[in-house]
Amino acid sequence: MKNKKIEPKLYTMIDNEEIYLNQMCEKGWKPVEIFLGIFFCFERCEPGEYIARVTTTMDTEKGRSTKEKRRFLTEYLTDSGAEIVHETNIDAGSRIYAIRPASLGAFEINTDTDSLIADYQARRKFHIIWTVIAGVLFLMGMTFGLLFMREAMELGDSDIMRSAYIEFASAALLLVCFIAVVIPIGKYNRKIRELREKREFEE
Amino acid sequence: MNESKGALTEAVYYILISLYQPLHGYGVIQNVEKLSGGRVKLGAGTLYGAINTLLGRGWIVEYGQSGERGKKEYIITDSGKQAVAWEIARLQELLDNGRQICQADLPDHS
Repeated sequence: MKNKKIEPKLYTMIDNEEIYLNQMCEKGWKPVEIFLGIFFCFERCEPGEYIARVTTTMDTEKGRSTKEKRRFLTEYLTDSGAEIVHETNIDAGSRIYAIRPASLGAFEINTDTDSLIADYQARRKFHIIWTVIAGVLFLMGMTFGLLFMREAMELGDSDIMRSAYIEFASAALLLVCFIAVVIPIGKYNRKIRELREKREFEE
Repeated sequence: MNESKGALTEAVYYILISLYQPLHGYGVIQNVEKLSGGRVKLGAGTLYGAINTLLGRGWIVEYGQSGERGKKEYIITDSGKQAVAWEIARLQELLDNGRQICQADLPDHS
């Protein structure tokens, strides 16, 4: 029987990534490493033996990922019996992937409304940053495509026309990326609004 | 979390009373769980946010570092103790009023 496997998956939302990892744990596959953000490596375990969590290290007050928060979270996670599977380290949204034996009880990283809101704000910020990047690149691609096309038509040059098509194809790809990263912003806005309403009630 | 004379959240209240002795983050989590008989389990994200807010408010301070990994320990300050005292008075008022009005409907614990 195979004891290791790699699955390529692309998720734009951390929430969905966490659901996927927990589904794999339920099936008896614990995550052990993640390459390039899309290749998930698993090892055999007992079905339901582990619970997986993905959290951001972005400090919402400082508006960026901080070493202090990363250190605090990794220390807590290892102290509480969790294993760090993978860490990403980019300012626009560092993450920690961890698993913990289900036998140790519930495994939650944010247990109050304020920290849940802060976590969703961090996730939303990650998407906002990538939306802006994808949007700007898309506009640049379209602009260059149109400029090349105009020049190609004026000069009747097929090579320039080919460059225009390449620019349009890149822009189309970036538009797909833009849509993929912009949709979760609305979902996170809704979650944050619901949590704020809940907090008002609690207060 | 609320302003200094407002209600404290359950998590903040338990964190503050845990820090009458110096403790590091995970020590706080364990102590809160013990104090609440396992009912209140703080997550790392919750504790991180609460500790930063309490440090910013001057209700706790860094006390030192412990263990091989040099984990930061925290301790409550005088203003933190004052906030706990206000909270206890507020909870006492809630309890007294609740008992006075609902007495007939409360289960007898005697």
